[in-house]
Amino acid sequence: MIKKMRINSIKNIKTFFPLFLLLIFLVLMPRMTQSVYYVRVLLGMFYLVVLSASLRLVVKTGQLSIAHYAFMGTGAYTSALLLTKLGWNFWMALPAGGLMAALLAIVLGYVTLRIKGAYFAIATFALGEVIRMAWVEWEVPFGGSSGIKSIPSPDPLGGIVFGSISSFYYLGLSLMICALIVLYRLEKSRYGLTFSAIASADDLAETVGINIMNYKVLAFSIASFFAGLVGAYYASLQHYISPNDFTAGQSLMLIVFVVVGGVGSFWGPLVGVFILEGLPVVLKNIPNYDPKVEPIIYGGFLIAVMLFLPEGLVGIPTRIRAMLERRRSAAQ
Amino acid sequence: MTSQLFFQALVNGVMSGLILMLIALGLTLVFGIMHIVNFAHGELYMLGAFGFWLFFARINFNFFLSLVLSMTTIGVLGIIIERSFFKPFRGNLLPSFIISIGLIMILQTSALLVFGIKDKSVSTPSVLEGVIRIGSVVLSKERLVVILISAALVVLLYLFLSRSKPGLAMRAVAQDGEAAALQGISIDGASSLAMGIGCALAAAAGSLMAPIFYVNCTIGAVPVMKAFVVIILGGMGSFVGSIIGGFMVGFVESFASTLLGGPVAAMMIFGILVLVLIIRPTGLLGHD
Repeated sequence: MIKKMRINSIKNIKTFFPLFLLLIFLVLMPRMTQSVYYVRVLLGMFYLVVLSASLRLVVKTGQLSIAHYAFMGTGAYTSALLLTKLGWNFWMALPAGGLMAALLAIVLGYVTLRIKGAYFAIATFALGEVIRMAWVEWEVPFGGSSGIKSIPSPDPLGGIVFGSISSFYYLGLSLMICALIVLYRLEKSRYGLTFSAIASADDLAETVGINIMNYKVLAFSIASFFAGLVGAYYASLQHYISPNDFTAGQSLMLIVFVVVGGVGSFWGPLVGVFILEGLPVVLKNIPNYDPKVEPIIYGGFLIAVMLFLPEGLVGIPTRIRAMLERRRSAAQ
Repeated sequence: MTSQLFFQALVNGVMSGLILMLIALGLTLVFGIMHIVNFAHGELYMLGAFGFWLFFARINFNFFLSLVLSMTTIGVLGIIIERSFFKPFRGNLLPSFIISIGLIMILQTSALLVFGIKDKSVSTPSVLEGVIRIGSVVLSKERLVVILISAALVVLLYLFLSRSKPGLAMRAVAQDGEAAALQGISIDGASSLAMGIGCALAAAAGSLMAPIFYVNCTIGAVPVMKAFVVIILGGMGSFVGSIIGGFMVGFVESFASTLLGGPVAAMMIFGILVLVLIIRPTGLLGHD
């Protein structure tokens, strides 16, 4: 028992040590660089990580949702309206945004989660667009296609004043860390195992007495809760939201982050976001680089990963380890 | 609604229904045989339109030759795509989805770099200019020809699938791949054929629409999205389902946008889709 625990803790140190280094880097980052550009890039990655890590929960139950940005938008609109029309405090509007998105997900989930596979993907695409069109069509209260303007920054919290880019950076970083901790605990809990069981064999899971529908709705609404939180954060970060900020195309990219990063691993979405969002930044530094060809390189990269690393980018260390092992045994 | 407006909406509905059918039948053929969803199908529609523009407006071939050449080129391109990218992922939704997204980026950007950003217009061939009058109703000749050609292609595909040996073999693979393979039918062959025919049909749709609208590298997205609604409504993998779905979407779109405006029409189509799926999760004529 003790031995097993020790092995576990060594394994934990091995997994978490790189994360610890990453965390130290991310915390110190705004102090090390003068460039607002890199701070902004990382800040964008933080909320993409929350969005994709939460979307992975839905994908894990076997449902490919293309409506995640619509739920983010629901949180953004809720919070923006509460802040601008009713003068709420940001720290109340933030969870309200998450809860509103989760509530919408519960209602829509019970209706649509019976649909499977490609049918569900297209149905959620349609739903996301209908929600978006509602924001466009209803000028009151959503402001139509010009959206909602002058959304205030978060209210001061315990002496911290929000407004500067680095204050939003740390707020985004904290949001990401909190979301990852909650999602990680969920993944390792009984619920997480049940979600995986549903994905791999939902008929079997049902016959052993799991109420699939409730679990799928649970995963869908938890994921949407996080999307809603991100939305509320985004609204106060940008001070302006419009229906064009929450399109199906962006939801598609989230699926790319999840799958190319590695849907089988908890860290897949994180790896996916950091590498795929980092790629254009790296490309930009190549001399004589023509940004027009960027989509060709990017698309080629996605296809190459699927062809040669079907388990996703997160599988690279395992692949390298296996290669070294093979070389070592060949040398002996 | 005057009778003129009614007949115009009717003709437009039939036309866009048939064009959507051409795109949807290709998607549903590929899905039925390979069990993948090619989200990049719209880019082949777009390339087909560019192919037609190249052959018809630049090289000055005649209308039918340009149509056939565009269909052949894009069909071959489809087979190459199937062989090199989709083959390892048959039956696997997630990776084939990512491959399609990569293909969309590559094909769209390539078209942008090769053909430029400006809209290309294809002038209507002189024989097809003008209108036909039936009583007080005025119908454009060009649209009637588009209707005739696309209807002929749908009928040809039906005859191919129900009469010819390779067509029957494809249907056998769609019904039960393993059993078909045991009878000596090549699944690889059927997949390539499905992708080739599917892409050629998308190219036909793009070519037929080129003189009516304009051509640029982003025209593929909207028609393919509607074609998705068509196959999901009708049931994926079902030929008749695509035809019913195509007419449903075509008519709702044409009548609702004439009477109520474009955005409401789009909302209605999506609304109908979600309603149908709630009642029948596998579409009108689909099955698990």
